[in-house]
Formats: sequence, structure tokens, C-alpha cells
Amino acid sequence: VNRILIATDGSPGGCEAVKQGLELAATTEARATIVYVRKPPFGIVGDAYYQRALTASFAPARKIIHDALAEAEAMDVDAEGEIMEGDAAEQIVELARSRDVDMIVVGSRALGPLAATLLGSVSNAVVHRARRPVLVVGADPDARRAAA
Amino acid sequence: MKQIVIATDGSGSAVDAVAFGLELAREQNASVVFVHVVPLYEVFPGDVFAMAAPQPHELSEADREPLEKATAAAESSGVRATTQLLAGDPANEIVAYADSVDADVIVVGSRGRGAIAGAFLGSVSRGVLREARRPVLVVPCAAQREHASPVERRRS
Repeated sequence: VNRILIATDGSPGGCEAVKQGLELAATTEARATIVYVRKPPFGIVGDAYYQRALTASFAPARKIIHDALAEAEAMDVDAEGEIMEGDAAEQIVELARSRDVDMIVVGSRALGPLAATLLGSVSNAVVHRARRPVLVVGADPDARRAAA
Repeated sequence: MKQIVIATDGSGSAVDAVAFGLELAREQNASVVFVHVVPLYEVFPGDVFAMAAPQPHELSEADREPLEKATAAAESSGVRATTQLLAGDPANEIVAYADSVDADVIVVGSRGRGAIAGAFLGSVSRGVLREARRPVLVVPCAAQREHASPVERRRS
């Protein structure tokens, strides 16, 4: 395993994906790419609105990537951050393909006792579409309880 | 990562899951348990006028074969491995076994040897993903895996 793609959305599951993915990268000395996919702003309302929405959607994205990269540096992992726009699963699979990663790590969004029985739609779509190994990481049970 | 459970049924995608899981185990210096689940009952098609009655599954050499192949692969890559033969519903048994040994990750192939091999994600891998409360690694068979062309790799 030389290259790992880690997808996060800042949710408990996403944070767990970052944690597990970086641990994996640290022990295998793999290079990690951490990706956050944000939704495209609603464009047709007008330029002023578009710019504001764009700025607003970048702020959390930057913070999540920044935090993840700080975590990577603390664990001595060679990592890069990416912020993509569009459908999460599609962008993750596409980036995995262009970087030719050996493994994708995604969190499964499981926010409650009920939701815990369902696989997140993004992780589900990534497992179906990515033609490479996918590690699906559930949220840490404690974090899951905190979010519920 | 200390303990990896790899599910195998001897099918093509399971063999690839074994190979990838072993690579991971070697890099992580983890120990591996290979798990194969056999059905409790089997339904043989009866005669034209007879009912198809479920028969208890009888263990045979063929049931151990996937595990023996996997062990041979583990030996050649220098990974500590044990095997476990289970009976029942594959997904439930795999998840329950992983819980009992507190595995760090469950490795499954994307599809097994079920009747509807056309469905991209097999019923066992889907069941494991749904039931498991621990990380699950889904490995597609090597033939389906794609790699970026050199041009695309340079562009990124």
C-alpha cells in the first residue's frame, strides 16, 4: 500500500476515517491524500449570492482539511489536502482513479442508534463504484453516542 | 492494526481479498484469521415428483479447501495465520466471529460465488458492511480493478 485516499466530511464517521487512514498510512509509510467534497453553491440566484455561498462553503472545508493535515503531521505522515466540488462519491472515485491510490478510506455516516444500521449513502456509492479496495470505517461508538 | 479477519470462499474475488489482506497484514505486522462459512443446510433439487428437502450440510474436504489455499498463501508471504470454519449465515457468522476475536478489520471480496454474480456487490459483503461495527475492507477482484493511464497520472 503506497497511496491512500482518505475522504472526510467532518462528521464523526469522517473523523474516524481520517484517524484510521492516517494510522494505516503511518505504519505502511504510505502517502495520504485527504479529500473533502463540498456541494456546489446554487449558481443561478446571482453573482453576489454565489460568491457569498462559495466563501461560506469553503470555510468549513478549509478547517476540516487543515485539522486533518495537522493530525497527519503529528503522526509524521506525508499528506496532501484536496477540496473538491460536486457529488461526493463521484469526486472521491474520480480522485482515487487519477491518483491511482491503492486504497480508499471512507467513513460511514452513522449518527444514531437507528442510522447505525444503515450504511451511509456516500460510503455505499464509493464501495459500488470504486474499482479498488475500499475501507469503510464506522463512527467511533462514543462519538456516535455523543452525536445521537 | 493487530488482528485481521479475512473471509474467503475460494472464489476469484475472495482470492484477491486474501492477497490484499495478506499484503496489509505483512505491512502492519498483524496476525490473520481466515474464515470460511459453510451452510447449515443444503437444498438439493429433488426428482420431478419429489419435494426438494433441506439436508443438513455434511462437512467434507472441499469445505476446508479455501482455508488451506489461503494458509498456503499466508505461509509464502510470511504472515502468521490461523483458520476458522464456521457454519450458518455467512455475513452474520463473519461479523460475530470478528467480534469474538475483537478484529481490527474485516476483509471481504466484493462478490462471492453466489447465483447472481452479476450484481457488483455480493450479498455477503453487503451483509458484512451492514452488520459490522468495525472497519470493513471491500476488495474488488483484480480483473475489475482499474488503474489510471500514465497521462492522467501526470496531469494530477
